[in-house]
Amino acid sequence: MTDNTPPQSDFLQPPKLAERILSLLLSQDDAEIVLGDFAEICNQQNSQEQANNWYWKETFHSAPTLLQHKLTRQFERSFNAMNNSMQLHNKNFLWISLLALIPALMLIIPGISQSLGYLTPNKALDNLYANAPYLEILRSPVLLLGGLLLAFLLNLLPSLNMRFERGPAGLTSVITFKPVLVHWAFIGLSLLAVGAILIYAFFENFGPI
Amino acid sequence: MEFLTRMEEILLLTVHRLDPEAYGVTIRAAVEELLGKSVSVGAVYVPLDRLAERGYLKTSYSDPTPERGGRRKKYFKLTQDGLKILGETKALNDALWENVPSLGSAS
Repeated sequence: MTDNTPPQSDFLQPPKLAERILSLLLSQDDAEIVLGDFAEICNQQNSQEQANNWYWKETFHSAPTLLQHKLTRQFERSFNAMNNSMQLHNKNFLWISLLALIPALMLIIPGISQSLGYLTPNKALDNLYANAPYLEILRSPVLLLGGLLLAFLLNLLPSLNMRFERGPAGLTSVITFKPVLVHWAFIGLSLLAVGAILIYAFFENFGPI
Repeated sequence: MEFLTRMEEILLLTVHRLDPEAYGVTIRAAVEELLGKSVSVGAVYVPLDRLAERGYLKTSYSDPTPERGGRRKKYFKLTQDGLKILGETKALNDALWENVPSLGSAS
């Protein structure tokens, strides 16, 4: 909180540019305190010229430490905010994951059913693609693999609790697993789908003709 | 037991010694006097802030003052955890220096 009263003329004034540079290197929380300390020490100098010299010199000396402190704090806060946001939106993530898995499921389920003999040449699915050619996009490898990756990540991130915490030993990252069954089910499904596609690709290329 | 860096130990002891007038300017001046060399404002403020985050220091604010351009002071004071870690550090230092042979003219 700053006082809005104009600076009094019987105090030595900090150089405006140096003060501006310094304020850019500080987080909002630190700015008032550090700029106040600078102003107070600046006022202990004997003349305005000496005050200016001291302020500039001190700004350059303190800049690396203050900037590093600001960036570390911003990183911690952004990361923790992102992590919290993941927790808030994880219900939406389930719907998005389900949609993202559709291309893979439409490829795998009829394939497995045919292999096991439950379906004979799948006319119904072929008819579907013939009648609605735009659905062919679901067979795109980008959509298929991208969807699997998206479903995997959207469920993995809310299942991990990742935080940066400052403890007695300094800054540490803490990762814990959360037992949310529905997310782990999606992760398992994504991995199974990748496995099924890889096995299919292997037999297509190297299997007995 | 947690360990403090030398600068953290100096800062905690200085805050304790200056209490209740321990804030950035007085702490920096006391550290400069102790070390006999110039110390930047950042080199004092950043570790103080970290020590407060770690629970070894608590903070309070003064009213805004004109010589600070209408800004407040941030006072630091040791917490129970801060006092405890200083006690542990002293015990460690005492044990470390016990029965050490004379350092001769260097001491």
